[in-house]
Amino acid sequence: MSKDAEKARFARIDALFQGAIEREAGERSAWLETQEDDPTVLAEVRELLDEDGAHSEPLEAIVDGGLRDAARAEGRSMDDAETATLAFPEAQDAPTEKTPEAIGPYRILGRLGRGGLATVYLAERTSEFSMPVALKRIRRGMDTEDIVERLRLERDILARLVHPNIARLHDGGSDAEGRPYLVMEVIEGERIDRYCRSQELSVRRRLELFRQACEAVEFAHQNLILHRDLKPSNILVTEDGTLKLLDFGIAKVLAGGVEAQQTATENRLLTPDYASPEQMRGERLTTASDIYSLGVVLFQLLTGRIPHTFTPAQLWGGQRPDAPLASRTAEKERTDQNRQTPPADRWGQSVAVEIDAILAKALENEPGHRYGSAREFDDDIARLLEDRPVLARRPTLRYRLTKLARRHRALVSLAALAVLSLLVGIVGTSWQARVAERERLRAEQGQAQAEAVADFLVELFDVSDPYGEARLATGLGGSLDGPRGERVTARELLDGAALRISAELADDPARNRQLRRAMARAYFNLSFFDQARALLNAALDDASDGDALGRALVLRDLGRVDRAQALFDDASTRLLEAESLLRDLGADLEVAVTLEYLGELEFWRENGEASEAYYREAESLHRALAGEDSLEVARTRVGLARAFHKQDRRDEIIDLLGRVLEVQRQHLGDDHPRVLETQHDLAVELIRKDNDSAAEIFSDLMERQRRLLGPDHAELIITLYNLATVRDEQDRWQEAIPLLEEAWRIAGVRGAQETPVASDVLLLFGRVEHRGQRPLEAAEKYRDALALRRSLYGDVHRETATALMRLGRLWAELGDERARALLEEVRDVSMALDLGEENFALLGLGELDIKLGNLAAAVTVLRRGLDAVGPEAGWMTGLFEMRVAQALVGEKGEAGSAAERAEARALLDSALGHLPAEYAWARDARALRVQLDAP
Amino acid sequence: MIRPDSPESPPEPEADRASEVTALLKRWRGGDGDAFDRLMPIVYNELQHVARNHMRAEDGSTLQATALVHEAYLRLLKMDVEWQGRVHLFAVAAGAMRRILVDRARRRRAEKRGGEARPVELGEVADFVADGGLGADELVALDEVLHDLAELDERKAKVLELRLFGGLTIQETAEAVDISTATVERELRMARAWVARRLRGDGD
Repeated sequence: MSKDAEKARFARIDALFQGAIEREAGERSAWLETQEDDPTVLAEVRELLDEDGAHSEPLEAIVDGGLRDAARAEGRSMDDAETATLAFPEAQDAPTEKTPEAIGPYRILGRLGRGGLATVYLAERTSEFSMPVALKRIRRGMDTEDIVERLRLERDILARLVHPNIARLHDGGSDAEGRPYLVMEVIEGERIDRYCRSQELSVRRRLELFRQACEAVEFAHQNLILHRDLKPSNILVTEDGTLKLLDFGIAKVLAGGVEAQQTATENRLLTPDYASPEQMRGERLTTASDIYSLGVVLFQLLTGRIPHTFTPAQLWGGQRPDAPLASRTAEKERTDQNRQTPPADRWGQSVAVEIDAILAKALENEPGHRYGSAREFDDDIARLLEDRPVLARRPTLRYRLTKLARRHRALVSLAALAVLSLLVGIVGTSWQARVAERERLRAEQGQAQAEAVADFLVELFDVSDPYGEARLATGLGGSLDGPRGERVTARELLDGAALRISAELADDPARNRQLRRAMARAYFNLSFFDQARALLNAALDDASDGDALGRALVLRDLGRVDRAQALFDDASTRLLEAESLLRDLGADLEVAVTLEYLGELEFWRENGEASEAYYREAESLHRALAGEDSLEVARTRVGLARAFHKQDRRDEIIDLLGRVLEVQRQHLGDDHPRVLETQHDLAVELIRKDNDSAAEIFSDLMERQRRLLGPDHAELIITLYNLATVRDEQDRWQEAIPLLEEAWRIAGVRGAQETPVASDVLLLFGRVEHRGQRPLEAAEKYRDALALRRSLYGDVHRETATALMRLGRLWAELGDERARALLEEVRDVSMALDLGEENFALLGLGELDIKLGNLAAAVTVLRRGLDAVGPEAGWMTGLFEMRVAQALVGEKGEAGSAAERAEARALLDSALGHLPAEYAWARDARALRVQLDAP
Repeated sequence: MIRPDSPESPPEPEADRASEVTALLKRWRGGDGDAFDRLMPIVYNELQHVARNHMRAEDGSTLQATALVHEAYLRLLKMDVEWQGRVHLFAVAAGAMRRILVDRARRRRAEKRGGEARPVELGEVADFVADGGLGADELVALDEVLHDLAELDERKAKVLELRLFGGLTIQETAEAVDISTATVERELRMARAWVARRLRGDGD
């Protein structure tokens, strides 16, 4: 029976047992009879009840017997108590399994220790002379699927973590019985706290040593691995002073799916005082949790004490005490002559306030208020060691940034949503156009995001400039107001910050590069591509510091700027170079992201298949890193869906987006902006394919947005518009009218009546009015839409042509002479842009002449159109045939020679073969045909 | 203030030892496994000391783990340790007690029988008191069954351990595990019955 099945069985037995003991002793047996379960389960419950009724206390007797034995042995020392500290952290407990002579190609030299699941041996390779290694093998009987999987995961994790400060994986395999094992570096070292004590390290030396731990953790985080069990016993220092991080036994791959269910086992392994509050609460962990644990370790190294332990009430209730001040704790411990406390020295005392600030920041109860990364933690310590001002002394910094980002995230995602499918129902959906629109609108709204970045940078420099001179000099106020109170644009903020980066950080190329990349992204989002490029080029120039990863990332960002500026070949060269660099570095995640960029590039190059191939590769990498149901995989699938669009594979798109939606919902909840976005994309794909489903999704979106965003939110415009489109498609155009009125009202409230989407709303509104037999109202809407599009897009533009066509044909239908100029214009534009809409223009011109009674002119124009579309164009051919017939004999069949009437009859017969019977045109054709046969 | 690892070091004044236990306790709660290793011999020595006095006084006729552990606590702890800390120490001592007794039993068993285990019957319980060797088998078996129980239901195993090896009251157990006393009682009944049945050899 598997472990899980056993547990389930036990739980059933337990439930039945508890149910039974609630009843009177006499009734239990009868009650059990009524329970339906496996007979062996019921039998066991009965035995347990018998045992329960025995009222003996045999267990106490056992313990007491052992105790007596122990007491008798009084006088014997504890020398055999086996409490020796072993080099390997999992080592304890007594042996049960004999130490083997060899495992795989390794000769076993001795046992280092035994944990619950595995035994660790000291070993060496038999085939060659080599350094001793630690070999960790799953214990006999423990090689269940779960545990084997876990060891495999540990091996995968360690294989990715090649770092001087992380105990290294050498090898892995299975022994003759198939039990898996790992082979690791043997660390001969001392626990960090004991090392600090035995070496009597000063505060400065302790901080320097601790930085290595930050580096190791940062490296793990960069590889998307959380350690989750950072504590002194997992941090050893070797003789030469190198720090080694051990025991990734309960590490977790970020966003990974494999061991999400293992929390129960993990909790048992928890070491409470090093665990973050969120870890104690069993919540989802992030890198911030490791930061907290690092903070506890540092606190301990500097004071000899643990900051505090939360009581359950503090943990779950609102009042969580902040960590005590390290300086005070250290002072107190020092007077207690605790040898763990570093000796007092002048420098150590002079930085006490800074150390307090740094520790307070690392030990924030709220994960979001802690250092953003181990690197930041490390950097702040470096600043302290160099006697530069530390960031932690501004505790509001990250808090403010988080708040800003949160505030602006709504705007940013609004932009993302707002750009989708503006063209639905007009010229069909062009995903590329939508994506372009998305980027454009994101740029417009990127202001907010850029402000957040700039604000962050302003604060950053403000910190290293205690007198605020930098602020005044650059005219940057923290509140986005300039010195004279006028508003500063995001662009100005960025420019100011960019200047200061080069000045302040000339001596720190890696940090410099990081900031430049951040700024470049901000510029990129504002569509200031040249500025982004300049910053990235500058970052690339000082690449002599060996920061290979940073350099590759800069290259990649440059490739993206190239793509945005349509320098596709340059983009391709750069992205491919970045990809190969990142592959060499083993930065799998960054490789995957680069592949996504390549997929994006090929999408823009209209190369659907290549795009698909890149996205597929990115998808499989992300899957390996983060699991099938990760957000990363979902994101690449959105890219894949785009690539499919290029290949006209709508069913697959719908299937993909459906899966994406599921994963995003699971991770983000139903109301997350990204979920709404995907829902929207999916519904757009469903338009005309499955209008009922599309309508359902849009209605749901509309409700949700009203609830989440309020009744006047700009996002509603798009949803209302799309729902109206579907209603029109469903021939429920009457229902579209209130939707469009609402959309227009909101556009008014949001000052958005002169935007592309407003022109879409007007155009659809016109169409619906037209269908509702209100041609004059329809014409009015079309005219407004046309004027708007002329100003938005210019005269020679596809979008403008669409509006021209609508109004031209409506006016033609009404016999309004103004139609002629419009239709001629649309014919010219169509030819200029190769839109293929000329025939419609001809049709409109012919229709106008029929209305005006210029039948000869109409015949000429329409015959030309009929020739152009040819006899194979289905309903188009039929429509032209009917119009030519009308032009020959007049709308009511009142004109024309006998020959013309005969030709008209033939044309109408043919037209009726081409036009679907339910079309209004077919009705008109039939009526005219009947007319012509009448005497 | 830091006590050398060897338990053979000369005994220290009572007050000092109490504050040391408090400090070690805090460190152990903080995840310092080393502190636990140091707590254990102290607790162990104290338990032995108390037990020896009892043996002398009562001629070995009644020895109760519960009473011993509690007396040892009192000797070890300063009274100003907050409630949370006391409950936690009980929990530590329960674990320590289990480990000490079981380790010792294993060694004795190994000495006597070369590591061979044999099934034990509860009827022999009475003999255990007289014969340390048999007690050792029984203890090792109990330890293993508790281990199995922990695999199936960790909390039940913990509750039973606290009761058996730590002698915690229902109230204290509830505090230590952070569940209601009613739940402790229910968990305990099932855990006891299950372990007893397994020791009888009825289970697999």
